[in-house]
Amino acid sequence: MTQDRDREMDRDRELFAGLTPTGAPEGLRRRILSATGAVASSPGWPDSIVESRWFRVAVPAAVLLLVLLHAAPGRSPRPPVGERISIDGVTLTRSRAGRETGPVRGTVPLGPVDEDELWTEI
Amino acid sequence: MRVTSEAGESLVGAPETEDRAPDGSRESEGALATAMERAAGGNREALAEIYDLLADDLYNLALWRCGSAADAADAVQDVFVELARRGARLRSIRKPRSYLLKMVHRAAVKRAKGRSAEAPLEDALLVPSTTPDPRRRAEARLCNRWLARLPREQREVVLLRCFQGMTFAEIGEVTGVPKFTAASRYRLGIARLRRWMRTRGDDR
Repeated sequence: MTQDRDREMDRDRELFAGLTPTGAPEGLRRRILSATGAVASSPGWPDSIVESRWFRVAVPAAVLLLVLLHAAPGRSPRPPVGERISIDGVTLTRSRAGRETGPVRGTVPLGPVDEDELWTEI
Repeated sequence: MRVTSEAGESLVGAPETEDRAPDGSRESEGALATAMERAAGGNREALAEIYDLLADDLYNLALWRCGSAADAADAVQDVFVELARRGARLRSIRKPRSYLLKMVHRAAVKRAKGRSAEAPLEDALLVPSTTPDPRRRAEARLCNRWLARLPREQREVVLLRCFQGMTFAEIGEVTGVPKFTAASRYRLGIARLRRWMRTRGDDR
């Protein structure tokens, strides 16, 4: 069976005796290596993003900024809802909405307590 | 080897000893696997090694499929650029030669898409394998004319079988068809070539 196949192959190859496929042309090697070199020095998505200098600087910087903002005074921790504070005999309660409300009309803004503003409000 | 008709009559050519061994390319399979591994590790020189090992096979397949040297060169370049992009993902390739031939087949099909199936060959597929003499050049021209008349699908199977020594299963894998289809295309193509050689290409 294998011998038959080999004989058939030999007979078929004789059709092209003395001839050979042209092969890759001169200059193609250099052209291709130049093209692949350009690709290798500029990796595609997502590698290009991850490996870029911009990414390597911006992401740690953004993370650091978020950490600093979170830890900034007056931002955190917030007092629990329902906490009562008393200023000059007026009792205020911290509402769920994050505002401080009192028995008097009006609300006072939440956040770092600004004595002047609070006083003005009441 | 001599070119003969089915009856054994010599049609073209003289004794020839420089034809490539049908499976000579397989000897480089190990070197190719090593080069692919190195390419996966980001070694740029490995791509040059892959090119040196396989450029002719890849280019010929693209040329026999497209029929245009410019398109074939572009198709091979497309493949190498893609290899450079894939980087570490190349490690998962188990049969590098077959994989690369499949890639170049696809690239060539894509490149040839805009062309009519009946478009004449722009460039020669075969050349005399010894020092060119006028008689050999004439034979090569004749053979190229016959090959140009073959459908692309049959032509590429003839190349892979006769010049790259691939089995029909391997050819099927590369061209994306069942091995029976590859065998059928091959037999049809060879039968046509034999007929044209016998009649000097007078009938279709």
